[in-house]
Amino acid sequence: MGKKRLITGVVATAEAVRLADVDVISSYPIRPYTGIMSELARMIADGEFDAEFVHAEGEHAQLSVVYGASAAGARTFTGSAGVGVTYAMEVYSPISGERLPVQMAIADRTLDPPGDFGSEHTDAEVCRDQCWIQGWAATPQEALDLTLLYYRIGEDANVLLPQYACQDGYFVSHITGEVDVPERAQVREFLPPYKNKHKLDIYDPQIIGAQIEPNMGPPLQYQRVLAMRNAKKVIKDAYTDYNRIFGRNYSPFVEEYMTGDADVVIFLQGAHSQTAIDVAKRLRNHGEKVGVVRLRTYRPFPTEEVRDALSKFKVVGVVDNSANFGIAGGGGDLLTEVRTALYDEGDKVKTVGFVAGLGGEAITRDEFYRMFDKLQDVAKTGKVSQNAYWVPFEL
Amino acid sequence: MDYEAEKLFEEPGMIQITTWARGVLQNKDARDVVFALANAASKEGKYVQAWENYVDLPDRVNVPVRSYAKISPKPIESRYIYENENPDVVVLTEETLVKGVSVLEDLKPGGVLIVNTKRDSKYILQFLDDTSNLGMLGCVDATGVAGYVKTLSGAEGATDASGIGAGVGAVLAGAIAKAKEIVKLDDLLDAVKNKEACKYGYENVKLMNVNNPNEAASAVKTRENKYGYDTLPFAGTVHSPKKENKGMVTGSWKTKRPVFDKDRCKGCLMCWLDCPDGAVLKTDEGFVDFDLKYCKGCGICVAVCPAGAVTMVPELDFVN
Amino acid sequence: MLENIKTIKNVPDEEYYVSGHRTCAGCGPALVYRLVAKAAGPNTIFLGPTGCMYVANTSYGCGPFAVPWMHTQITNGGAVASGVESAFKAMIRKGKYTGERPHVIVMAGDGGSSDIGLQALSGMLYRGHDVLFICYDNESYANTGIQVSPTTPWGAVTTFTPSGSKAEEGNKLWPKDNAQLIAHGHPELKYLATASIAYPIDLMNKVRKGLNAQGPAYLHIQAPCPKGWQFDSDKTIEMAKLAVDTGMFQLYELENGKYTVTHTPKKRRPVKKYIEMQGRFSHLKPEHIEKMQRFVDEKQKAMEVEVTAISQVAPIN
Repeated sequence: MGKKRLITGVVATAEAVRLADVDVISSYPIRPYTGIMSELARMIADGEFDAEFVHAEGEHAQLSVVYGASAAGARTFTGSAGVGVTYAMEVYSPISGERLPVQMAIADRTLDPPGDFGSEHTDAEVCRDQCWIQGWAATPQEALDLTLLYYRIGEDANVLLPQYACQDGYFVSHITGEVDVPERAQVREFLPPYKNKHKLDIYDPQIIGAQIEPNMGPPLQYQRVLAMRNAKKVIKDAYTDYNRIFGRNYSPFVEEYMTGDADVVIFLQGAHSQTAIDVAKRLRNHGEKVGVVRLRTYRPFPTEEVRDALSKFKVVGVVDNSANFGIAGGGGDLLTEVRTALYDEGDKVKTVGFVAGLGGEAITRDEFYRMFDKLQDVAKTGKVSQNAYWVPFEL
Repeated sequence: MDYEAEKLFEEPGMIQITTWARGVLQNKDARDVVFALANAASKEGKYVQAWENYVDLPDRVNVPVRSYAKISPKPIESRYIYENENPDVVVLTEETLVKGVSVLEDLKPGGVLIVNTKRDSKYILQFLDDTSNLGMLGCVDATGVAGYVKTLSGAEGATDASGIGAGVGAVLAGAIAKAKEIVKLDDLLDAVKNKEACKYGYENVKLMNVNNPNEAASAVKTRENKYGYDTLPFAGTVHSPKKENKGMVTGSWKTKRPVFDKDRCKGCLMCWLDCPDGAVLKTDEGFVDFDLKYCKGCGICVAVCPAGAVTMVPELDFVN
Repeated sequence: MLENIKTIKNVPDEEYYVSGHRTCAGCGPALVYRLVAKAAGPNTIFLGPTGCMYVANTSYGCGPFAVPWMHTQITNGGAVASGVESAFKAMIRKGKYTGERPHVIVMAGDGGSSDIGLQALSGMLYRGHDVLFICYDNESYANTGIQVSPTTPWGAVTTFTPSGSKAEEGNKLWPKDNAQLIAHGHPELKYLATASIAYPIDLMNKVRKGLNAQGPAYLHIQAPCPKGWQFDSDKTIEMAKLAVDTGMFQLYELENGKYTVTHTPKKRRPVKKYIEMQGRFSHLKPEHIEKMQRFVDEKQKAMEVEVTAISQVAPIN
């Protein structure tokens, strides 16, 4: 095993980038992800590893730089947060459409107004339809692991898709946690060098991105659909290998905590899942039959796995840490996606939404307690009187 | 369900008009033809659509482009598709379009072709590829009485500031009205600016019967998927060409072709260097040769030749 | 190092921008591409921001580039090129690529250079990437059907600047001089030049000088457009020559901080000769033409001075 260090999410991410021997990095500062880039700059200046560090003039340029570098055959890394993520929006689809497996770290943050630094999943979720692999790390350890996993998954010849490696801003990015930093040899075993015959090469000249007519549209889009579908199997295998080589115990899609005989569960992704688990443990000590199901992979959304995990319960509370204004169901994005996954279960499973932690406010243990309490009410009465509750105003 | 799509979605009585033109120089007149007829038909209580082919845009100088009209006694259901599937009438704003451009593709059996030309109908006929569905050919010298309206106004769906039917388009609209009963002449004259030109087209188009196809008009074309997701190259990426881009052969763009007088040539090679399409080739003796496969007939070679060794001759003067 | 081309007989035969593209008959930018590709040779990667030279060249999913080529957004030609160049730097240094380091050339239109693409161009120059950025200037957003861009001349008609009772002159804005804009203030800029298809050998040599420079280079090439400027397709070269002869476009290069005028017309012709040949100016009245003449006279005066500090042409009202 490697050495254990007490480091923040941003440092853990930077360590992974170093271990992955990334070739081109494009930087631009925005809180709370900036630390990743500062750390990488320090490593490069100190000779700890070698990469081109490009000071892009903005987030849109950051993504453009790695688009070009990846097309030339390099392994690339970039990152952002909040409105930086939305500023680069134009480039996400060209990157996934040209099948360039760049990686972008998102230490998430609320969108303006008004420039609140606090953590929300909103910024990263806005990108959910761009055909990038996406998921959240809940601890600094997971931040490191996710980075390595995503290079392996994204660069797989049957996938070739870019990845958003997300972590909750501040909660994961800025707070230290115990991290086992692997050895280079372990990483080499897990992550092969990046190879892509689809590239800019004067010895095999190709025209990438020629203008097409509408009749070429459907097959081109469908190629990406298939890549996303292939990704599921690749994700599963990658996690299996990762667990074996690095001694982890991750489930690739959903993880269940104390769900054995649970009547009600909370379903969520990201760092707040850890708080939810601790609250569930406490309530269990008092004999309450509660549990937590954590979503690990957000895109491709693991519909069957979510259905299999959640169909066992009477009531599921879906916690969204994002502002999806005007969405069907009036809650958040995860609520709508879970309901789609549970469609075949009909009325058997009742789902209730909670939109919490907005603006970067912590979701307190007390709030989780009240959510579990509300779910138990629903279980007792068998009625969902309100689709979704905006915490704390409506709970 | 077991319906035949073609029969299920029949739109009897619908007339489709497709106008072909040379991009930038004549697309306004192509629009005028379809808008004039559509507007006139609309006044008469018909349901209409008039639009430019989107995929032909952006139009480039000389590239073949299309405009469409649909005129129907009933509300048009096939309204959001890219092209006219089976034109009843095809109109060419310029005569060279008969050569090397599939203008009669999917023509309804018994369909009408109207061509802006001074030449004899039989001469024109020899250039068309598959004329088995062609019922009638109409020739009219529109350019003799009106000019092409060259303008940017009206492009990309915006309003035509110059109005409709000031030039060649009006003549051709008139010719259509004579060749096929679609609208009354008076209603058409109301729809165009240049009523003299329109009347001229109506009165002077020379109509000639060609074939007499027996089939009843067929209607709906089911979409053929040209590309499967597995036959489309990965991410749409293609290998770079070595000598020529065969996917875009442009020889059919030219209305005039360069004719080379080797005796006058001084071997200065300016035409070779200045051809945007690389259609002038160097020979081993230090002179040049003209590659008509890609030549668009822009005429730059003539303009830069110091020795008068190149002249532009109408493409249709040449049978091959 | 690419050699200087002495005469037309020394121009290489090989084409790297081959026949078969959906550009207008008589397209100025297409000729620019052909000459640039010829001058650059086979060890070249082209980046094509959205614009005429993207859409017209690669319509129907194929293209005329015999060398590697990739599409970029109209916004980011300079940034993508920075990424490509950085990748080769890193891969060569780390032993992940053992081939020749390729030339990297961006072929951007005036929009992709002076307007929506300006920021990325500036970032690339500031960081000193070894990339040649070429602006083929047809003085409008041409691909979308001719709309005003920052290099559209004052008094030109476009679909966004039509002439009407409330807008007699058409375009009311004086154009940006993108070459001058970026020439001063980017300390890493190694070579800058303007060029014209009227002087094709000069153009190709400037391309080669730009590629030979160890660092960023910028070429601003005027490329007359029969569709947008509204002239017959055989007049493209004549129009380019007239632009230089009237002073509407000036040919110079900036190397090691020193300006050299690379071509001066023997006698500067009145701007009226240029204006009356183009439909986009056909609405102009004599007082408008006088204004244009004054603008050109001022530009010419500025060019005749030894420029080491920031130069600026005063706006004419």
